[in-house]
Amino acid sequence: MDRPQDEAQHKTILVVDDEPNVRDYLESILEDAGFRVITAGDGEEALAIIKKERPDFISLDLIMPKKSGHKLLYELKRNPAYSRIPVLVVTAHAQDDLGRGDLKDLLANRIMSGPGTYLEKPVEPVAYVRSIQRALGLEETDDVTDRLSIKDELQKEIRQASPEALRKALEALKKAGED
Amino acid sequence: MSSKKSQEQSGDIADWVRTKLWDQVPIDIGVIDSSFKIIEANRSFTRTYGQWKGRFCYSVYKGKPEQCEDCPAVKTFVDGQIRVTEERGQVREGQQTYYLVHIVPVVRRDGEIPYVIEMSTDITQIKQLEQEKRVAERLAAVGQTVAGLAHGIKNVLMGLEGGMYMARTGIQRGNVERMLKGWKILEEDIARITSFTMEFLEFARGRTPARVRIVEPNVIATKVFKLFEDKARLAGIDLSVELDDSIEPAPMDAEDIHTCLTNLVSNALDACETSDELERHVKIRTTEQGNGFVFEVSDDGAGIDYEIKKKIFSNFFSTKASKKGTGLGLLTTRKIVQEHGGVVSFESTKGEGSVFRLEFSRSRLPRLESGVEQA
Repeated sequence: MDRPQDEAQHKTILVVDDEPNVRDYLESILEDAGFRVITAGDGEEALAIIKKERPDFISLDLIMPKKSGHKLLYELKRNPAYSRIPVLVVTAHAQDDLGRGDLKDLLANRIMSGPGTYLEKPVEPVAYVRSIQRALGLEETDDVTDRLSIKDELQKEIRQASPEALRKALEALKKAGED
Repeated sequence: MSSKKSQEQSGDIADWVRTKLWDQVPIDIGVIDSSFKIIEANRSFTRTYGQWKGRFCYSVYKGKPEQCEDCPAVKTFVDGQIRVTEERGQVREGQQTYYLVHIVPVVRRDGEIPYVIEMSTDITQIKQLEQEKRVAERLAAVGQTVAGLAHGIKNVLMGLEGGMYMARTGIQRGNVERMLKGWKILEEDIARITSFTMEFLEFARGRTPARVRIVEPNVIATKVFKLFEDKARLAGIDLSVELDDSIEPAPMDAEDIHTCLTNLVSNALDACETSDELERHVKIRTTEQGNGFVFEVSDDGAGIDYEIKKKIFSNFFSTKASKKGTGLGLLTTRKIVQEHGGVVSFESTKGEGSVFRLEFSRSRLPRLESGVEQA
């Protein structure tokens, strides 16, 4: 049976935010939902990663040094190779002078389309994941934290396992690693 | 016919001035001799101070047993110059009174100055209004920042959300690394909110410049320059200072002004650091201007996007967790400058940088405790 989570595992999401704590947070949420995550700290770094890794989705902050989210989006739109990558803007500044203008401009010029394409911080994990799942055509989750990634499932099993089971698991792991 | 009438009229007026004006005028007028004894005074003076015959002016005005240290009348006896000063009077009904005093010499034809006339207007009410205005301005500034305060707190809350999620899920999944990362975020954000709250309380409490002394603006500018010299060099930013030698010393709270300049230079350096230009400059400048002087901090560093976005006076609080300090800097700077009777202004040109100006007018600077000469 095809579990949506498996599909998610094949998707790479680029999280762009200039604050390391925010990157860690969003990365945790997305990993819990089964995605592969890469991060960038500013618009320039993001552009370089996009060119190299071709992520399936971009979670983007607006106000950043070096190259703002606003500027990055315009550049992506201009390039047919990247203009189709779905983007979710995640910003603290949708309502204030720092970000309101940018957001309005992006919506007005159809760089972004529709209300589903931006979220205001603080981010609510389920809403965040849902937006991304929806954009990628994946089944939507009810609770992010309910789903354990394979690593976490393993860790859980390891804690409960008997020494015999552990030995078997270790052998299986080593063998799988060689394949 | 009419000229006779006007002669009478002017005669009447002259009479009235000679006989009635002295006692009708609502200004305390006292005449002192060179020993500072009051030899003549008008009705208003008597009404204010009571019995004055044979008493000395320092005793009557200030209740002191001896001459005031900075007595302006002393100088007028010597040089015959008219002086205008603000003096503190006595405490009446629990309230400190203030007077605007005009000191005028009586000069004999031979040039001798046997007497000095002291005319005092009660400006206690004006001083009170000034104080109320300052309080109102401070309150307005605080009110203005309530939205900014909420924004600042919201910012920290976002961090807390993240920290909590990571700590909780880390525990649930046995992912110790994540749990510890989350916990660290919680610690950092709680520390931020603590110092933020303290700073804001301090700011809201408000106080007039605490230690007003005669200081040299150029000395303060130089100190701030030296403070950031190394940091600028390490960051590859050209920091320079340009001083106007003609600036006279002025009464200010040196530490407060130092805080303002430090804030501006720090912001300018930060703005430069986010720019990709090869050559970035920050300049500190002092200029004598009109009846006052200006501190100026300019930078040409920040890239276009970041510069425009920093609508500085409408968004006081630092929204970046990584930035040092809580971002109250500009707000505090503006408050300090206002309390010195000055004005903060700034210009930001796309691609060219920003200039921040602290403009001070000598007539509005805070006063030292005793009167200050303004002749």
